[in-house]
Amino acid sequence: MMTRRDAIGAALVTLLNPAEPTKSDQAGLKKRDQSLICEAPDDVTVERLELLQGHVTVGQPLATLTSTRLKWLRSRLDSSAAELEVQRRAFTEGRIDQLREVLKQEVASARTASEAADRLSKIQEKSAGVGTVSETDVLLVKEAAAESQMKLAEAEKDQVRSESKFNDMKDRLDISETRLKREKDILLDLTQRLIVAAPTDGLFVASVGPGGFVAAGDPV
Amino acid sequence: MIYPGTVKVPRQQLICASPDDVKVVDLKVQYGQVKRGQPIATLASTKLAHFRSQLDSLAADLEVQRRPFTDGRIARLEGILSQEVESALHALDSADTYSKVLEKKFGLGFAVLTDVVALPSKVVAAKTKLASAKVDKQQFPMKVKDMKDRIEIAVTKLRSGTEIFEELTKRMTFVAPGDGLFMASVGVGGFVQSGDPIGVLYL
Repeated sequence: MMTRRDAIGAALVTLLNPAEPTKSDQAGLKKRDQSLICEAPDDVTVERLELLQGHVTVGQPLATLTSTRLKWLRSRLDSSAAELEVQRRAFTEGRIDQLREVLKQEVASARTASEAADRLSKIQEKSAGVGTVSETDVLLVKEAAAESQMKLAEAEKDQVRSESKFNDMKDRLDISETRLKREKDILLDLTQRLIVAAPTDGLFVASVGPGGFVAAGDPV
Repeated sequence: MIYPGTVKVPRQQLICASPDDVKVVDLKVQYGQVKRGQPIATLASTKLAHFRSQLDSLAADLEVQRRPFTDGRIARLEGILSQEVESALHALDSADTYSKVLEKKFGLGFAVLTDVVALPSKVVAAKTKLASAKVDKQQFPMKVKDMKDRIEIAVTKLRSGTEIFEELTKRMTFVAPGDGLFMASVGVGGFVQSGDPIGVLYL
C-alpha cells in the first residue's frame, strides 16, 4: 500500500517563492523551489476550500477546516459549564447557609438536652443521698446523661465535618472553574487554527478536496 | 527550458484519506473516472461502533434519570416532606403545651422537679426537627430543578453526541471530492489507518 507521503508526491502542497539567490546558486548548484507544507492542525475535514490551485498572497484564506474532536470538546465544555452552574447553586441560592443553620440548631438542641440530663442526674444523686430514690434510678439517669453528651459530641462533629465539606465543595468548584476557563481558551486557540491562511506569497496547490479528511500533521 | 520567474505547476492530485481506522466494506471504483459526489467506498469503523454503544448507554441512563418525574416519585416525595413539616409542627405544639402544663403543675406542687427539668430540651429538640423539616421542604423544589437541569444537560450532551456520530457515520461513505481519475490504494476488506490514503484522485 502506498504511504501518505508517497501519494502526496513531490509538491502537492507548495507555496513557491521566487527564491533569493543563495550561496549554492552562486556556486552554480541547481536552484530549488521552496515548498511550504500547510499541515492540518488536527484530524480535520475540509469544510471549504477557497482554491484548488493558484497564486495566493500572504494571509489570504485558503481553507476552512472542521474538527470532530473540537466539536466534541466544545460539547463537553458546554456540559461542564452547565453542570458547574448547577453545583454552584447550593452556595448562591443560600442552601448551604440553611444547612449551616440547621446544624447549628442541632448542636444547640443537643447541648440543651445534655445540660438537662446533667441537671437531672445531679438532682437524682442528691435525692439518692436523702434516700428518696434508689441507686438504680440514679444509674439510669447517669446513663441517659452520658448518652446525651455523646449525642452533643456527634452533633458538634457533624457541624465541623460539614463545614470542611462545604469548603472542599467550594474549592472543587473553583478548581473546576479555573480548568474550564483554561480549556475554553485552548478551544478558542484551536478553533482559530481551523482557518488556514497562506503563510507567504506563492503558488498554492491543494492536496485534498472539499469534504476530504486530513489527519493531524498531514498537508492540506 | 524554464525561464527565470516561471514556476512548474505540478499535476493536481487530491489525496483521499481515511477519516478513521477503518475496514473497506465496499469499493465501487478501484480505478477509473469518477464524478464529484459519486460514492466510491463504504467504510466501517470499530471506534464508531464503540461511540454508538456509549451514546446508547447515555440514552438509557437518561431514561433512568427521568423516571422520578414520570413514575410519580417526585410528587410523592413532595407530599412526604409536607407531612414531615406538619408532623414536626404538631410535635412542637404538643411539647410546648406539655411543657407549659407541667410547669403550671410544678408551680402548684403537683409535679416534681425531675419531671420539669428535661422539658426545655424536648421543646428545643422539637423546634430543631421542625427547622430541619422546613429546610428539607424548602430546598426540595431547588433540588428538583437541579435534577431537571442535569437531565437537560444530559439531553444536550446526547444530542450533540448524536450529531457528531451522524457526521462521522456520513464520512463512512466515501465520495469523490471532484471530477477526475480515481485510483484506489486499498481493496475490499482492507484496513486503512486514520489519515492514510484510500486512494488518489487525479484531477
